[in-house]
Amino acid sequence: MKIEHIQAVLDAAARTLGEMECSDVQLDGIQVVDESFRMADSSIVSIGVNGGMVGSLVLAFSIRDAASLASAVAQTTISPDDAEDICEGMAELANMIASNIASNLYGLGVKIGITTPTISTDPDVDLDFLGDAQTVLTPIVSSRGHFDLLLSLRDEPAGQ
Amino acid sequence: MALRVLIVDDSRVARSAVSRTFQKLGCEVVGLAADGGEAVELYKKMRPDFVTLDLVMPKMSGQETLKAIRDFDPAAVVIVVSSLAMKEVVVECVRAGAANYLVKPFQEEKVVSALRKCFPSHSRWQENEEDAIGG
Repeated sequence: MKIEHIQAVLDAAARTLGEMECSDVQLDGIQVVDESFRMADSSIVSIGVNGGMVGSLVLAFSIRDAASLASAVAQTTISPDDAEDICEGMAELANMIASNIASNLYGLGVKIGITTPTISTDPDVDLDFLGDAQTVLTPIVSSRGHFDLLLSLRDEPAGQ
Repeated sequence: MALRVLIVDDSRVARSAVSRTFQKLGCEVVGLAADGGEAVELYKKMRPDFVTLDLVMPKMSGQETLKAIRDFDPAAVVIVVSSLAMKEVVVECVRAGAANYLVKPFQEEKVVSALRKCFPSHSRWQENEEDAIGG
């Protein structure tokens, strides 16, 4: 991934959270992860990416820590014990972030499509990303909670 | 009389959030649809004053749903509510008959502005400005 594409992704995440009135949004560094990455004690939401770039976007979070974020999305209070509603809220957050990413990449001349979110609450999940794609992880922290954003994308040559 | 709205979104949380937003503005939610097929059926049954419509949905996309509703009722007022903000997408929706386009997450004043444009002569807007935005 080009650095401007990674920046477009991070800007999209920060802007989405900011528009939801989540203050003090911090992107806590970027790290490259192995193509098969194990998430422990996390629920995940994944969104497929297609078109000018191919791969996936994943939000990984702990149920308890995501309750406030999910509440901000739902515009109502969600109990930290309500795993289902928290996951649904995080899925909608992932959808908003992915859509913002699509808008930002469009401005850079890259047209992508996104799938509807898929939720997984398997407590010990392996994430197998594209073997030839670079996978980066960014912890994102805000006043309403935190989650990890994983991005695995590769350019898709025109005509494929 | 309150404006009657049909909410269409495959996300339960999004349906709930959009419902709350429009209810705060005095609208009556007459139906909630999780996909395009359900949306068309509910539209035929409930004949709402307007529809809010997500774009990225499984099985039947928002654009396909918009076309189906407008084919049934060319006068249907459909407000697209989506996180996608590309000009190309907005233009495509407007050309397909969308009355307005709101980008999620949206601010209340933008929703009020959209409703005023869609229903300029509705009695809701004859009240003073403070009442119109729920103040």
